[in-house]
Amino acid sequence: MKRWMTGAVFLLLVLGSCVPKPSPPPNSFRLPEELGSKNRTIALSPLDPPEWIPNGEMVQKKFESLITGKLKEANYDVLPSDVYDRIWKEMAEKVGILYDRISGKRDEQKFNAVREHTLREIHKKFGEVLVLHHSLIVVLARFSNKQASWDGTNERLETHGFRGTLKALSLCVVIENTNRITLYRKQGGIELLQGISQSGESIPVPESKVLTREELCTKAVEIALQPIVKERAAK
Amino acid sequence: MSKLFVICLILLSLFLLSCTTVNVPSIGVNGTTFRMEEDEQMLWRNATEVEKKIGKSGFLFNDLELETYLNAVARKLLPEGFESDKMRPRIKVLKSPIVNAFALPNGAIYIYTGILTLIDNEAQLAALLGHEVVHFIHRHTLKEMRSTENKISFLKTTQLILISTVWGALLVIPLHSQGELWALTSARGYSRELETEADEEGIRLMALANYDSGEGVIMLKHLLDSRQEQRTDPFYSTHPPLEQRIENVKRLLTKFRALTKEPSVNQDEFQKRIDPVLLENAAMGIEKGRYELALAAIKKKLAMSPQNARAHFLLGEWHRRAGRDPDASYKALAAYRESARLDPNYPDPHRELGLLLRLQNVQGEACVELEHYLSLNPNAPDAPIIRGYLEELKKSENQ
Repeated sequence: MKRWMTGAVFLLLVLGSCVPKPSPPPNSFRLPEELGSKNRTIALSPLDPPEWIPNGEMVQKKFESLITGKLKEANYDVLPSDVYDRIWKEMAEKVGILYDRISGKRDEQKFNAVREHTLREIHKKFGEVLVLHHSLIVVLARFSNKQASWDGTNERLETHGFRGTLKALSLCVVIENTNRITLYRKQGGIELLQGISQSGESIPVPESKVLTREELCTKAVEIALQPIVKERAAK
Repeated sequence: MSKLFVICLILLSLFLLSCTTVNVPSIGVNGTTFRMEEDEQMLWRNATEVEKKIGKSGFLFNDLELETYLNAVARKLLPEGFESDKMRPRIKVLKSPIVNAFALPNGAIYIYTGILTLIDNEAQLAALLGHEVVHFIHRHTLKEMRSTENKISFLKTTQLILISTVWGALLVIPLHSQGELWALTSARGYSRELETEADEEGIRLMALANYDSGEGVIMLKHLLDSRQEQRTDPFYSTHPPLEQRIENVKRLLTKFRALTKEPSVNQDEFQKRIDPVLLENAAMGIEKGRYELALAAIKKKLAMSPQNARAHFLLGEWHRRAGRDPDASYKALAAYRESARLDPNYPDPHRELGLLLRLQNVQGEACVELEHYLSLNPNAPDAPIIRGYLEELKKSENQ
């Protein structure tokens, strides 16, 4: 019987080798040179938190301060968001209404004109700078048993034995140059917006508890900016 | 012992099955009738859904004449005795400065305007189409799906890659099922074995259709040249390295050339057909930071139509945005001026001249150009901003 077993295992191994191998994972993105080069200035655009988040202004300041700190750590000079905001508002005021009062629909042509001239004006005033936009977005986090994972982070759940997706909050960072070319985009997970009940149903996290834990915001910023910080530190 | 024997036999037959089921016959080759298998029906259904979504996405470059031409070239590549019209590949063009093409399992083949810009003649186009036609008629998606051991992990990677195309704001369509992801497998590339087969067989088909197979090597070299800008793209990650592909095809050239009686390249016809693509692609390339590709398209257009005002305007845009030498802004100014001279009613060069001169503090000339722009396009979305600049410029001139 032992001989049978050995023979069968050997045969399976040999035959197994004729099954085509899966493709290797794709190469990760290369960080654009423009981001890696030294002595660059990054202008922040202001965060516009979703309306349902309490203390929007505080949240805006918190993330701006965390992002500024991280960028400075990576030896970038940072222009605070009020610089970008002032120029944007000035352009928008000239162009007129950007959103339809009734439907709320954006006038893309006007919006693009404001965006383009804001970036051109920043270039005129500050030279070759990059612009960092950041936003808070709701994503779906996969969970199984006691853990949910998304955008480079994870969170423990109280119950187990279930799998599926839950709503979660992430920080999305986009960096573009003044020619409107996107150079960088990454999301960092912050926290779950839903929990799971003993019966397996999703239950919303009270809005008052969202974004109250400083360490989670710090971690999200770290995840979202980690490749830049790492690249700059290596230079 | 007999129980163990049965288990071993079952395991053995399962493994044998996994080895044999990838050996499916090609579609319409040697006069055989194509019989769609059960899992393949799912692939085709999903491919049809994906095709509909692409159709509605706004990414299609709708040019009937160009499509008819591309389909005619593809038809020349089909093996002798290929089945009915229903089974024929259908070529469509996607608006994007990406150097890529892909085939859905149901025969819909998509070519990006980016790759059309790089190609010089019909023979090179035949090499590209031949590669994609082989993916279709050799049922590569079905083979890939059946041979992939860890399907979930494969799909996750595919999904990530498709989502990550947002990076270049490329083809982004919402996919609602794993089947649709499978149908789009070729957008990420097949296994290296299947890609090699598509290269070799594709070049053989072009040789049989009397195209100069040496142009297939040049087409691959164009891909290699564009790689510098392509490196941030996920495409071609599973293709064998281009250098290896070129060497591989070169080795087979003598054999392939023997298949061709009167090799042709059909450069003039090709250039005429892709003319509408060139400047569209150049503009998109500049917008997306695909500067080398944009420049190649502008140069081709200017070689064909040296008096084209838009081509000169885009050359100015290229110098302004991508130019790295110290004279870039002067070259941009010269190109804008040439564009404005060639077409006095074209507003865009005046706008750019005005904004660039304003940046250089050449206030008087900046005012003239911006006023000219407003006179030609008084309702431009940015007209109020330009009027604001004019006020500022005039104020500072008076001081």
